[in-house]
Amino acid sequence: MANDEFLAPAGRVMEMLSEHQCEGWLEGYLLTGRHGLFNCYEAFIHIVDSMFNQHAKWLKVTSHLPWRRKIASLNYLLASHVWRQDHNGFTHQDPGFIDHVVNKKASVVRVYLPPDANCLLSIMDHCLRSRHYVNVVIAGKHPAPQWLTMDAAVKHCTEGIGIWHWASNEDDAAPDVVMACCGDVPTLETLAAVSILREHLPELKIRVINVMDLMRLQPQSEHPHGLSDMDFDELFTKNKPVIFAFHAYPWLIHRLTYRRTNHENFHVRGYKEEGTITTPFDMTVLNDLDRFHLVMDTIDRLPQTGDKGIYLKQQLKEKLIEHKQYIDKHGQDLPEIRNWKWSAIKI
Amino acid sequence: MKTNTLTPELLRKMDAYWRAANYLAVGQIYLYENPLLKRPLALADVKHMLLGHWGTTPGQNFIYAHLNRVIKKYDLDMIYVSGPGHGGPAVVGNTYLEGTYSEVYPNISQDEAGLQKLFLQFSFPGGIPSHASPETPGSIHEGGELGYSLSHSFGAVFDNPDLVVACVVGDGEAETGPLATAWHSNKFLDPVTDGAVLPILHLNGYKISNPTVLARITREELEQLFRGYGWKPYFVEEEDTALMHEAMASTLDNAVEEIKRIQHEARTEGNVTRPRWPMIVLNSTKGWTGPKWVDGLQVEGTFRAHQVPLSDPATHPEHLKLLEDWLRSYKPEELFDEHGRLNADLAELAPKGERRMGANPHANGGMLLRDLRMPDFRDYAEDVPVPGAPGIGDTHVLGPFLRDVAKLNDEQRNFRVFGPDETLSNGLEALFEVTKRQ
Repeated sequence: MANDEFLAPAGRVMEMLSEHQCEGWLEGYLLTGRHGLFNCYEAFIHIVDSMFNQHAKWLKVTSHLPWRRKIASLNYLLASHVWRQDHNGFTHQDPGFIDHVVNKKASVVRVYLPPDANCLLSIMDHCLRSRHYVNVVIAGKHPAPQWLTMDAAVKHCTEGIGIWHWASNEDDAAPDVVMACCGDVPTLETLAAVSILREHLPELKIRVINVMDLMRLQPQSEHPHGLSDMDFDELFTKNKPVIFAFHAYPWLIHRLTYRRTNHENFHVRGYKEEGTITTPFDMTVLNDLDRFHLVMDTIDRLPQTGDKGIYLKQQLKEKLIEHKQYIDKHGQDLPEIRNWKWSAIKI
Repeated sequence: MKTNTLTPELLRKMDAYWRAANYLAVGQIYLYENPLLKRPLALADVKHMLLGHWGTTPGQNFIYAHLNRVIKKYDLDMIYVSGPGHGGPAVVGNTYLEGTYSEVYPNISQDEAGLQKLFLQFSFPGGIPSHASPETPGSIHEGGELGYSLSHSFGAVFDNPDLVVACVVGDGEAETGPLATAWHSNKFLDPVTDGAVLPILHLNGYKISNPTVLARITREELEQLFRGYGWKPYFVEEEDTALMHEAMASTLDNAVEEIKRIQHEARTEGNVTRPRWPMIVLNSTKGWTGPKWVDGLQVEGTFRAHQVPLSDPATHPEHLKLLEDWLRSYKPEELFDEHGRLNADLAELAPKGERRMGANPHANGGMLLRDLRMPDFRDYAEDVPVPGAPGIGDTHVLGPFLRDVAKLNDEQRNFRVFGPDETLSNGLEALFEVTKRQ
């Protein structure tokens, strides 16, 4: 038709507004020895929850049949994710697919939340080369700050989890608090929270951990990517508060870490089914995942912050009211939110 | 319908081959010992737990036997997708008859001992499930959860121009949303670069305990439904078994020749109009050739044939008698030699080597899998002079990388991106610099 774009009888992109068909076609394509990628809105990939189940079962069984040769992995790229569906509203906000995915056999499921574009490139390269997995990659599509050079991204993706030294200030002393993050928006909010803490409470020793490969959190005995207890304890400490900002529903982190030494000090923020048509930053505010809540959560768990902490909390509560008033009037986020930059913070 | 596709001799042999497959299916559901019925059937020869589903099986055996014939006649590269639930005994039995099963599982040998193991393992602890499960040679589609046979079949033929997938769609399965939508996949098939799917709607009328929707609408509605979806439906429906064989054979010939004609016109004559691909509606009775009446109730042709028609021979001696009559109605002594091997004149009906649907490498895709040619992802890196440097949106950075994956593998034609109308919206617009939406 005259106004159609990018259509042809033969092409590499298959689009039909039926997640079932996309999934079924891709499975058939992979099962007959080819490669592919399914890109989908995060909320609507749930439509194929059950098809994913069946494919994951197939992969599990065939991996034990020596005459069945391994096939290319089924790769999901979930862009247009929960935190940036502020313009489409509540129906388009659902990060629960990965809750569902991790039910399946650990030997076949992988979940990646690259914090920036270089990590996304590195992990997608890995996924397209991999065999016999279901890889779920969750990534943003909106302009967002970038954290790692390509060299650093390759290292981070290879490890799947790690301390971001450049954002931490613990140096040789033990940290007072671990600020962990998983997902692009939680990473941004965590780093913004860290910059507030470091400006106002400079004596605090903060360790920043980014989780790119979600399954690193599970015990080694349960998932091949799981960290050993020793490695986990070294990263997350055995007894310090962990403020964990997570992309999806917060209970998933508890589910994956419940057996870890320091689990009782894990305080996880994530999507808790609050949303509407609003601003991007307000999405995090509605779910207590924003930088201000993360700072307040930290203060609540560190009595040593004393009166300074109490005053800072008061200031941030007022900031949240200011935020609300501003977005109600202007329909967009505060300039200091929109223009916030990590590089502006003196380290 | 009067045609002469099958000579009387071929008709006799094909019917015998079908009986052999049916015998194997009943044997899998019931028999613990005595696989060739060399002695009268005793209760001890019957499994304690009777599991499995007879209803869909004879129809699928019928289809499989007829597909074997056209594979040989036209030298087709064909795989079989079993859509209806619990079609396992049919696919297992047929891959056993064609020899593939014993090649993959040497202990399930082509003799009496192998037959006994074949029967025993079905729906038995440590054995195999009642679907076309991953253990089944030739299967890419288990069919445990219903509704995906047709979309799997289309996925299989994209970029496989010589492949034909015979996709048996159950009339129960056809009620699911995904299957109902999948009929539209024909609009996405390129007759030049893709292969063909031949859907065979198995209209046997019933699910577990209910009639099916497609069996209860008028013939006119059914035909219009499929014509509306863009297909050209052929109906195979005769009262008499011999006529059914002839009708199925001539219809399959027509369908295969039509597929070949469509592909030829598109590939050599450049015909770009969207073709109307053939499909078959096979109207056969549920539980065909099984017990007609049990305990005073009609079984064959009703929902009661869905699972195990004779469910309790232990407490119903008359069930044991019916079971023995049923098994012997296939005349196993005419089909297998004294050692339990399929007679040579029947075995030759199956295709050879990788043309056998159980041995076709497309159904063990890893055998055909080649690595993608990959660009160096580092070349697409965002410049990050300091942490917090502005980015354009992560998927927009990924787009050019995926574009070049598509470009580098354009010749191999083994990489595709799928999505529900969201490739642009998800920031992957760079893909459209080198490829299009099919």
